[in-house]
Amino acid sequence: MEIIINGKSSAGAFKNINDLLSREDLDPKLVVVELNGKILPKEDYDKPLRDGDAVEIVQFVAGG
Amino acid sequence: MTASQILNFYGKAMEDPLIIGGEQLSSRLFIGTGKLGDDALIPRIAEASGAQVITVAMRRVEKGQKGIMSHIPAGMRILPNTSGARNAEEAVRLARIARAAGCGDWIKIEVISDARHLLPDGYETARATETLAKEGFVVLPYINPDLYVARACVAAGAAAVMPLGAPIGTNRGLRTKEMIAILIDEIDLPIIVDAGLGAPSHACEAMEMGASACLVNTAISSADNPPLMGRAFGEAVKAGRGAFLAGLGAVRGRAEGAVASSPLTGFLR
Repeated sequence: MEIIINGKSSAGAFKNINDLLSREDLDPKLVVVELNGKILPKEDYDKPLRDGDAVEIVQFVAGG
Repeated sequence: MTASQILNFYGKAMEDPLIIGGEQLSSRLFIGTGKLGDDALIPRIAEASGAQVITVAMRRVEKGQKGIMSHIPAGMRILPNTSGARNAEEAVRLARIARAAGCGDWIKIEVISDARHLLPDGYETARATETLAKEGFVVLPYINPDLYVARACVAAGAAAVMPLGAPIGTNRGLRTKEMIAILIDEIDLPIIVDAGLGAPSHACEAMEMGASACLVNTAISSADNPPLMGRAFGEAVKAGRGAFLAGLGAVRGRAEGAVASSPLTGFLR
């Protein structure tokens, strides 16, 4: 399957968001995920991803 | 004395909290987290400055990249900004993402499409403010100190307005002083001077004029000793607030001549 992660196409067998975050070494508590343009509630992080899904992973960074 | 205590006419300590979005703040200095050489300084700056409100930005993550939250002391009020947004829709999207992160519903609206001077777009900012205030956000729009933009933000439901003292990151001080003074006179919301304040004296001056608070990032993060500069800003903001409440004396023009502080009755008479 192929999904888009933060604007970049990525091929691989991604089960769900939890799986994706752990592969990217990211803490689910510290990020916000948009799936196909909508904020994904954390309880949906174990729902299966589908081919072509667009995932945005965002976190707080330094800023003024 | 707590951070927000002042003295009344008889020298008795009194509270002077700043209330924003129903929340009482004892410190009138807000700090940013950007551009520090070492983010581990953040808790030390926060403690030294006494600030309770701290800004952060939101960005796409890079692989293994650590965010900023692990450096922010517990109990601080997080003020995420919408930096990177070029229009109201992008600002609204960022605000909703920030709220989903679970750090409260405060948001600093920052809508900028001019890449050189980084001045905020008042029209788009007011539009984003309206949408987000209706969704229950505590909205603090970053604006040019323009009376009509400020009024539009008030009408849109802002909790405070944040006019710039000078363009972001320039440390040039209160270049917009006259316009900010007009906002202080005319706008019935807290005025938080944001951007451009480069020295504690600039923040003190803003507070002496009657600003409700100051937000400082670059001046602290670009100092050789950021915690000490944070403390200096905290003290300056307190000093300026005290002077405003105490009431500054009248300024006499040169043509009016001097006024002696001691009796003018002559030598030992």
